[in-house]
Amino acid sequence: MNAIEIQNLARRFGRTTAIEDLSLTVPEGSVFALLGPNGAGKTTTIKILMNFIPPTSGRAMVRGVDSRKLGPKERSQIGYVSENQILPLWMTVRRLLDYCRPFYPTWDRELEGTLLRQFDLPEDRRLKDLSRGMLMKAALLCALAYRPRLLVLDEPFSGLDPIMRDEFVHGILEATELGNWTVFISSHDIEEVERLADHIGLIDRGRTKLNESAESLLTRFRRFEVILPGSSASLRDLPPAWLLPDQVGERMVFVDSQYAPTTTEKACQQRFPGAVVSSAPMSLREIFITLSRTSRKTPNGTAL
Amino acid sequence: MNLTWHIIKKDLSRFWLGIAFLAGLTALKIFLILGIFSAEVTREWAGRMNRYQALLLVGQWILTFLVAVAVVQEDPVSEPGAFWETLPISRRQLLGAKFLDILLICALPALVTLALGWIVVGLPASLLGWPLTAVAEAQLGLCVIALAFGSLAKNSAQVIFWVIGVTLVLFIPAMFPELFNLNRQGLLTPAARFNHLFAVILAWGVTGIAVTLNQYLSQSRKRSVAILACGLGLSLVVLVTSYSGPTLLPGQQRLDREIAGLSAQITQAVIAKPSLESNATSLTKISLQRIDPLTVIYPLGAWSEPTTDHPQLGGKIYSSHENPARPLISRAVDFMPSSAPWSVDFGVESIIPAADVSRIAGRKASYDFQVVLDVRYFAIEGQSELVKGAVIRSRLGITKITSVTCDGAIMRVEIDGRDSGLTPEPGWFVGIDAEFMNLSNLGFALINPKTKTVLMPARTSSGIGATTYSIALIRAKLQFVLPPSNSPDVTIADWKLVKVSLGNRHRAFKSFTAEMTVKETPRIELDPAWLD
Repeated sequence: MNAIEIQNLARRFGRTTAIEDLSLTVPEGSVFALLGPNGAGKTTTIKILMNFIPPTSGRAMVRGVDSRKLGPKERSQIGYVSENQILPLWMTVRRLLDYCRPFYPTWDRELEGTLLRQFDLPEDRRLKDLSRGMLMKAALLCALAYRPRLLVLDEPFSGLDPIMRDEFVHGILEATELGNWTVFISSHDIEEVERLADHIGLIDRGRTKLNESAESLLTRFRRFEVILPGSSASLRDLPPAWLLPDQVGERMVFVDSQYAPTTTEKACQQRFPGAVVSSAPMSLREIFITLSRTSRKTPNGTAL
Repeated sequence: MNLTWHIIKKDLSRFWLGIAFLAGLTALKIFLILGIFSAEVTREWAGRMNRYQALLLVGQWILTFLVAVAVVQEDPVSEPGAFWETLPISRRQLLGAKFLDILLICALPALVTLALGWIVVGLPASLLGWPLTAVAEAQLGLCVIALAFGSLAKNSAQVIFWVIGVTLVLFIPAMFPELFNLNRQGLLTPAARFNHLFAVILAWGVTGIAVTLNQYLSQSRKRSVAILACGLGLSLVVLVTSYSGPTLLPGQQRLDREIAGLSAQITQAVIAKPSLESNATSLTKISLQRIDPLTVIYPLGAWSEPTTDHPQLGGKIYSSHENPARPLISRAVDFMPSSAPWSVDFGVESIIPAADVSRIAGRKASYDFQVVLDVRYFAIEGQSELVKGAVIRSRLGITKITSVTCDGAIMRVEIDGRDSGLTPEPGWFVGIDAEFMNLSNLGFALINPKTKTVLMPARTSSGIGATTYSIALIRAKLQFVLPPSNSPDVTIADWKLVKVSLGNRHRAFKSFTAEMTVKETPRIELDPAWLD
């Protein structure tokens, strides 16, 4: 069973379309990163998944239940942490844990203690006196202590300094090691996500641009550099999978989004006889930027 | 249910300060009640305590509303992604928790502390039922409205915005009292008053419940705003139609009859000119006659257009403010025939230009003038034998005689009473039956059918009371100076205690024509009984 299945989801706020025809699949047990630039519709998607707002059309299934019908029973298996999460700031960390505990039959006091130590949270301090990073850790602790089957994190790294980010990522990694959980994390902070995610979804302007495993994505995308001695080649009629082609003098670069070993090299040699072709693997960040730029050039383009 | 209590416990610990303030206000209120009912206080002291108590009541309402709204806003339903939404609780559970929350925080403490206070001051427990029910209903209504506004608004600023907006809209009719007949409230029959008040309460109750349920269960804020607008519109319509022709007609007809029966006579018109150059002052004494035996009338103003024959009338009014209760009671209990002469005398002072004096003085002329009158209805609410333990049951409540003593010269009567300023009509809400009437208009007198004597309380009497939610708990020590001619064969058993009331004020206008001759006099002399 997939942890999350989104089909043709749309949400409009008046005349503004936040997401449109969005489809995603999050396999059970995966760490899924939903990437996209600001305003892409990531938070709206999560709000629909959590049943904070209803979709305008389409459907989102969360652990086999329509998101609009998520009740207390289903919610007790979902952990949620958001950059904009409203927490009862008047409570101390201890009070927050005491308040949250009775809501979850599966609350694990031992895990709570372990995480409390790992996160180094001051129990007697009020939430309003905690730093942003500590606040996020407190929220994460509350979301993890009942061993949810699905952990939803909405822009968890926003506003955190590098040290805090590192601690937070470690916190998630350590927590996920403690159980077989699905983690759905939305972010535009690709470096942090790269360390965590094994599945990637990319949305832009409310539409799905890609949805696949990180391994496949990193294999599929490759940066090519072609040196064309003494001549310039036409950039017309290049294969559609070759993205963002650019030529400066004898040097041409592009990103192959359908890379298969030796195939692209052969295609280059056929198209540009005598050229020196070299390729390099890409980071998730580079892939993300490539796709975002491609998307801006072809706003209504289909998923890649 | 466990989770509901868990949320309630959280809110109680969150809002302990608000609860403490509410408890403090109520404790202060009890202290004032105790102050009012302490044995040796003066009437002035009691009046001051009652004013403070009224202020406290307003403070308590405002604080109750604010605390109730804050409790609702602690777990907001208008803003997606609130902390409670991340917890495994349903909207229905949250609604239940919040409702119980505000009942426990806002309604129950007020009820319990007031009940304790009233018991401490020695009011019989049998009298507490209605006041407490009225308090409970009012607090519950306040909580329902707070729940609606609190769930509709996204934050505290929006709550203030909504409350001010709705209040302003409801005050629109008050800005045009003439247009909406609001100046004729006194003409409403109790039944019409009750029906419309009930309709307004019902409109707001239903609106509050509908908005709350919609906010908690269906998440459609636009629909809630539409419901609120409908409720607001409906209550405005009800308010405006309360004072429309059909509802005012019976009272208007009675007033018209009384005013039509009035005749005016100018008993004296004098003009005085202190020096040759200065303006003159005229005083016109007017007597209004053939007044309904159970109507109290005070002149508020009189004026006329100036003609060549007479000066302009208008200016300062002088009239007697003598308590009219004695003759009214005499007529009401048939000690005096209702056809007996009955007049209201007053004077109108005007300034006359010096040049007009010689033209006007000594000439007989016909005068067309208008008088503005303050009209109030008088009623005998009930009477009882002067016996300890006797009870006067009236449409306003009950009064129990707790002690009667007489030393031959002074009769001392002590009473305990519970009166509702809400005129009782058979209603669905116990205790809240109709519109508020000023309780200071209640009074007591002794009558003796044998000697046809009416005695009003002496100034040494002390009548004190505590008013909450228009329920007045009254404890009075009335002293009556017996007439010197009180014959030995007149005993306490011959006297009866009478409870009287004055209705709301109503303004009426009446035009008159009268003949008069303005006489010149060295100076104007006012009637000693007149006050300006």
